[in-house]
Amino acid sequence: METLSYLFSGFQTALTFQNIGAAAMGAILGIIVGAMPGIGSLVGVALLLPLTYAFNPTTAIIMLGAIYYANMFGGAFSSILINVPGDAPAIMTALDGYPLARKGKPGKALMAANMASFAGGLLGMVVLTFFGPVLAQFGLKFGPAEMTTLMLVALSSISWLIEGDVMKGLAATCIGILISTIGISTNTSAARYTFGVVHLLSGVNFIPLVVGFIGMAQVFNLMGQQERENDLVVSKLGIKDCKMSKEDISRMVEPTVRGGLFGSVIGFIPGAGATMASIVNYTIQKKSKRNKEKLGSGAIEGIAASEAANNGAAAGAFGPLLALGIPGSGTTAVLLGGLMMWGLQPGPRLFTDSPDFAWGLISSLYVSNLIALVLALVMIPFIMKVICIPNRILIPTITVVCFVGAYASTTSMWGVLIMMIGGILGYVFQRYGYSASPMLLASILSVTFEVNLRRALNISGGSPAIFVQKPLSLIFLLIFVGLLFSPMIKKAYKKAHAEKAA
Amino acid sequence: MKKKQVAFVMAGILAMGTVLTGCGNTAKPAAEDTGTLQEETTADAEASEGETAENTEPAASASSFVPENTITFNVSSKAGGNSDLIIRTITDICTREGLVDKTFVVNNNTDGGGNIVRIETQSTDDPDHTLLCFSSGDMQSMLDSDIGLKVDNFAPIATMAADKQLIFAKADGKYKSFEDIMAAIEAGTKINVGGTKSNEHTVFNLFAEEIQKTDMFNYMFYESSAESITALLGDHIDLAMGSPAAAISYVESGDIIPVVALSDERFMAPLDAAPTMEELGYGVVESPMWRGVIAPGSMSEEAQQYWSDIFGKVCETEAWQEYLSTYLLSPYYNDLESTREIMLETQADYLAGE
Repeated sequence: METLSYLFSGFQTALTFQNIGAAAMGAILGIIVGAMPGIGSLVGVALLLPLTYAFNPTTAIIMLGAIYYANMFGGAFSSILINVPGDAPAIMTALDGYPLARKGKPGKALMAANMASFAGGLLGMVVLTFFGPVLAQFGLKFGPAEMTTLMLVALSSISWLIEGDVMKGLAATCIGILISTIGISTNTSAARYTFGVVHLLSGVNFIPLVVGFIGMAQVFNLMGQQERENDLVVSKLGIKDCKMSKEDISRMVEPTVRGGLFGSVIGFIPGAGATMASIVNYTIQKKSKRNKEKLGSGAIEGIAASEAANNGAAAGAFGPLLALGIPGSGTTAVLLGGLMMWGLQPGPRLFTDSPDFAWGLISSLYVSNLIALVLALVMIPFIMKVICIPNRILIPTITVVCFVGAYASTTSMWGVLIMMIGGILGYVFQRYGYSASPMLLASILSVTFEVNLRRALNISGGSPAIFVQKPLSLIFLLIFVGLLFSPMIKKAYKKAHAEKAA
Repeated sequence: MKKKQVAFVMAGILAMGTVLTGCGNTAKPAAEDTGTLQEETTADAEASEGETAENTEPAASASSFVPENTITFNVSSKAGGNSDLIIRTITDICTREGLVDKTFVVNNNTDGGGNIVRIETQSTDDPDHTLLCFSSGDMQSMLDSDIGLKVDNFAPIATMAADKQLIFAKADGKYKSFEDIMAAIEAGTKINVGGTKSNEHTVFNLFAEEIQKTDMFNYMFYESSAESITALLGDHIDLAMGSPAAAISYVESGDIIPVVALSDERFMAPLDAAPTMEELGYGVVESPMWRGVIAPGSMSEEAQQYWSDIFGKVCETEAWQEYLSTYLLSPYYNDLESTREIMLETQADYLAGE
């Protein structure tokens, strides 16, 4: 009850004319920045930080929060319409969003993405409001041993993403792991696989790689095609095409609720983040038996799973930041810098020292979530027409977007080179039936896995017993073993069942 | 008529000077030679203008260089990173206080762990208008890589601020004081310590050497002080290294306690609970993490002096004091001579420790 009264007093702060204005402005900027590939929330918040100097600290941070938050909405637009993820957390949205848009239902895909974003985010905020400090403490329990075994579980879930040829899926996974090892190792400072190329010392930048792997590969693909067949059908798009049927909405419930809750918990773990949340939730969804269509072919469940989880995580990431002063992601780290610039000391005492500020921010998240939804819904009928653009205009446009995005995320031509190489690799992948998602998932997860594995073994003096001694780690380890043997157990069970019946 | 001729000759000499300076900039390998050539031509031009003898003195006087172009300030951290913040504060003060009337362009580039921007700085076409943010942490990443650059390839301009470190323990953890740590080590327990790669590691090694227990610690690398303190809060490590700014709020809230101050004097409250190594009966252990500015090795001496003076003035402003107190940094301005010494010393320390 105490929390509720704090929240309402927070709304009093957030709902002043000035602060609503700031949140709305932040939401508009955030959606635009989010929709531009390569300029993710990190760059967006950093770029727009100076804009907020004119305001008082509370208003300024409300605006930054809105920018960060609305980014997750914007990321879906370019994912769905041109198959170039606006930012890393929107990668999985492209997998189903783009095929659905190509089927002539871009409005439905966008609606599904934004509704899921809103609902997932809302769930995340409720979790943040009521369990923030508790979950932030829980997040602390994730040390090297726990993170290692958690990553082990996550890595094994890659097998669910593999379609068709298992060997090809494993090969893609291995390439992802290989890419993640390039650069200076965190644990030892040793340079690996750099071949004397100075640029490679900091590793392969993930955003340009993704923009190339999905977006540029798409350009290569389109170039090999004739003018697309569905031009006529989609040119008659109207507002009624955006309508979601009751069935659509009921299909979205499961992935959205799970995504929102799961995402917000992931957001609380320092070092995880929105990208990981959306990928893992999508993977779990893929395993679900209740999907009406196969994920990856334009299923609404896939869009919802990805978008709900990344918005949930975006909300959750504020938990460790506000409760402990620990940034849960790169963007919240920039926000932290912003807080300090105004002389606010984020940390364990923020809630006691400046309650209007902390609760004002939390309340404003609700406000910006709603504003972002309204804005996004207004934009959809106009923006969905992008899908009708003929190839001869679309190809050069996406190419430009990919180049600009790759450059913007690294501010160097090196990013553009990575993007091009990623594009070629992505095209080869598509052409020969290797799927992209195992590679991307592996390259994100294996970095965290390696760093924590080595840290854990360093702590234990080389003994693997540490993974069994820590209770949380043991639980993850058991889940991992269970996953590993589940096909065999299932088979044995079926066999026994069949024998019984016979 | 005569006046016109004199003007013509002068213009010719000046033009020649400009051409020669231009050559000097493009011929990088021979940077030193052309540097002296450039000084001579400047002196010639000034002499032919028939001004007083003072101006023909060695061109190192402070007033002989004034920036003419836009100044590029290279930073190897992202926008919003620590190095970025310090440079944006400096350039902001320069502009606002009217110290420099040309525009600064801050160029953030993290490629190759910051090494790309170092190479770019070193090989710039306009050495007098190119500056690079440099810290003892950057030193390590530069020396670790195989790009072959050392402090010797640059012109150290100034150190601006320093951060010293403390060893922290969890308030309800196993070790609450230096004595607890020593007792555990004597009993044969290995202690897990977390910290960053840069100065925190260097100074911790100095600490372990001073107490002669180097093999009783497990030092684990974290990306930032915030990460290692998080690990300490979660009981994953026994001790964490940290700077005052990163740790103070956790000390205030009573979650962690400072155990040893790695400095020549105690820190301010509430970090003053930790004794220095001297108080504990050992020698002084410290390795200040400095942040400063370096320039391409080919920057002219006049320009070096000019920038050193400008940054000296920056450090005297109120806005700078405010910056230092916001981020709990110690003032650490040094002139050309001492900056070079400090940077070379840090380099030697690091190379010796490898």
